Amino acid sequence: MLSRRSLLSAAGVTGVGLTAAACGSSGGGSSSDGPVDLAAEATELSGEITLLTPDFTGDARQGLDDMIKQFTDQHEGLKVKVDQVAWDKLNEKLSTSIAGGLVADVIMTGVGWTPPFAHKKIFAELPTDYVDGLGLDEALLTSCRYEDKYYSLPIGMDLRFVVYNKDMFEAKGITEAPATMEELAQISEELTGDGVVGFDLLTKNIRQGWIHMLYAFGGTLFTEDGLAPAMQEEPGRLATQWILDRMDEGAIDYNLQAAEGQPTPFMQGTAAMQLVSTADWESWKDMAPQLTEEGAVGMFLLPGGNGNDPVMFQGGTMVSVGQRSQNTDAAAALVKHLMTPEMLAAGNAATGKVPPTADIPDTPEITDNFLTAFALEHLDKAGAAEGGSAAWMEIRGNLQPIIEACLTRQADVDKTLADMEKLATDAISRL
Amino acid sequence: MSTTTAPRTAGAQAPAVTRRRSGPRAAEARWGMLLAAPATIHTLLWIGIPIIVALVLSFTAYDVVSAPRFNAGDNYAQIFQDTIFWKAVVNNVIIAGVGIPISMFLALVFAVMLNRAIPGRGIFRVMVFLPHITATVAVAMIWLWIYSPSSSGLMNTVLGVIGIGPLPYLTSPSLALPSVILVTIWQGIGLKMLIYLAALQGVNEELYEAADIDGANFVQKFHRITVPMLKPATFFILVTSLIANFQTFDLIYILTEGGPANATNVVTYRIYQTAFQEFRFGLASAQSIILLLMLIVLTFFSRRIVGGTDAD
Repeated sequence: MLSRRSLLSAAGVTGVGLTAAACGSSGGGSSSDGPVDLAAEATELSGEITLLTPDFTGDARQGLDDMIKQFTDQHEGLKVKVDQVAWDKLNEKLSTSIAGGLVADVIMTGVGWTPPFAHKKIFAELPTDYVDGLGLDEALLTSCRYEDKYYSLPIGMDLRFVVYNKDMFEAKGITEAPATMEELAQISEELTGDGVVGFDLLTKNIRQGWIHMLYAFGGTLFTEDGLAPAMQEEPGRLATQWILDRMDEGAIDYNLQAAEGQPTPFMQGTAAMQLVSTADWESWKDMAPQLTEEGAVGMFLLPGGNGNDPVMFQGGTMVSVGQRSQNTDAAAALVKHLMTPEMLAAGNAATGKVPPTADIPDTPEITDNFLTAFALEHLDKAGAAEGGSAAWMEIRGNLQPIIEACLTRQADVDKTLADMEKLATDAISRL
Repeated sequence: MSTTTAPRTAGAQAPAVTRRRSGPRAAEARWGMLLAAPATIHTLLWIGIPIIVALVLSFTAYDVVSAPRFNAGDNYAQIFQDTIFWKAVVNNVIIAGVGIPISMFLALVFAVMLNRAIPGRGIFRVMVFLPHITATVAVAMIWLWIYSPSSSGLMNTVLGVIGIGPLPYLTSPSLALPSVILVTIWQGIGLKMLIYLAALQGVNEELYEAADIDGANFVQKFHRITVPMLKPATFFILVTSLIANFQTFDLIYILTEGGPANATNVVTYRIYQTAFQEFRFGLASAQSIILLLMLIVLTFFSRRIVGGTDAD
């Protein structure tokens, strides 16, 4: 006789539209505790594994296929099936596949996704000695941990800093990039006018722009254990107020956000500075090739506020082994293959992302991209990252409207910070 | 004796049963059931079962990873405290309250105009209908460009000629919802016009001839003949538009993602956020049930407002 629990489980699976679950897939896989085994011999591995990735779209797919071919050439008994999904559908894809018990063996996600999926036991633990041996910067590894264990690795980064129009700087007699938030505020105001805004902070992503500022003022989103929010504390107040003050001066224009696929104000010459992403290189090449010429733009890290150090925002792609994989050894072997210097170079040359280390073979696509080169020089400053709590995936979608309400003057700073705290506290309490 | 009478009794009843089942009405009924079977099975499988599942899940806490836990009416209690959900409901009501009457009125005007023998009528009909058959994703991308706040945005370029703007159509909390409504009107006119056009062609010409003899002018004929004769079509358009309005998702997803500050959030987008961003499938199911109930109530009131269909 069916129990209420089993009935509810069945209803849940059906509810997300996955009949696959009803076909008998257990979704169990490797449920053993402890890190995955990376020592399996190539000859011992066989079967088929699935790689879920939001990257390697369009022409970049060939790069991934080449990398996989090298892997399967070394592991003749293995096949790798690639499941590609757009970034904005990745969360849905993962949640529905979890419900259906069809989670991929190797999963690529974003920065901030590791604690939530490690907490849900979707990602398998990775051996500490292996991760330490990769020699990656601590700033990047922080995003890979949950409860002091590694569950993912940075495979291709999307890093953010400030670019400026050199001609506009020269026209105003500005010879040096700002080193403090006060100087950035002053320069932003000086550069504003004649149809130009001084600083385009929000065009990439309002939430991430705010988080970058939060870290610049020395804040964090959560306490170190991820069990309480910290975004509402003094650095959060200072960051929010700094943005509002610049908006009052006209140096930041909330309404000047570029729509997807359209040139940003900086590319159009209507913003003197922009919080840029290394991923912008491709759109620069397509829509504003003059910006990709050597020396066309200047770059600097977002200065620290309130006496803190400058900081770079860390986005990008992380790779993990699925805890529910039926073939974790093979999945771990693929992750290990993708993390070799040769594959990091090939993969990031294909995607246009920044490799997590500079210790890779010379690749023109990477060395000729001066946004990437600048980011690689400052990897140790990539400390501003989303996430830090197992509840992050529940929080992030609702954080943006709270920030928007503040920046559109529908809520003051006190209410904004209180709303953030409540949102995060409620989500954490449901863990 | 009994051994002989029993078969006779059975034999006597059998022809009566056979007669009932083999008559033309029974055959018609069987054909009816057979023809209705695909739609019935489809409805049961893809609408009936999901509704029941959603109803069951709406009384659980379910995050996909762990098994659902029965939580009585907690989800429904949370919905009543969820200010974003109710803001989304209000937004849907505003979009419907403003967008549907305007698009219905414009559709009727276009239908009346294009029902006449004017040159290029076919081309005009296609032009009005085109937005309806264009993928909403493409529509949204086009309107993103039209609404672009930069100088390359079409709307700001055009309005700039007469000294208006530039206006932040999608980033201003006060302008974002009207901007979305404008897109829904533009996209919604085509289908409504087509239905009105079909209905207009079913209006008996003799009614207009009789009105002509009585000396009725165009306005009187439109008011006294056209509008009442189009009542069933109007009811159909109103109900389907209301349902479609409350199912709006892709347009919001691409144009605004419910922003800024939930100014354009709608119920379906809120359900999506709850399910796929917060992983609260139980709560999302409860929100879906509330949406279903709202649509049933709205359909009932629509019927009362418009006055029913032909059957009445």
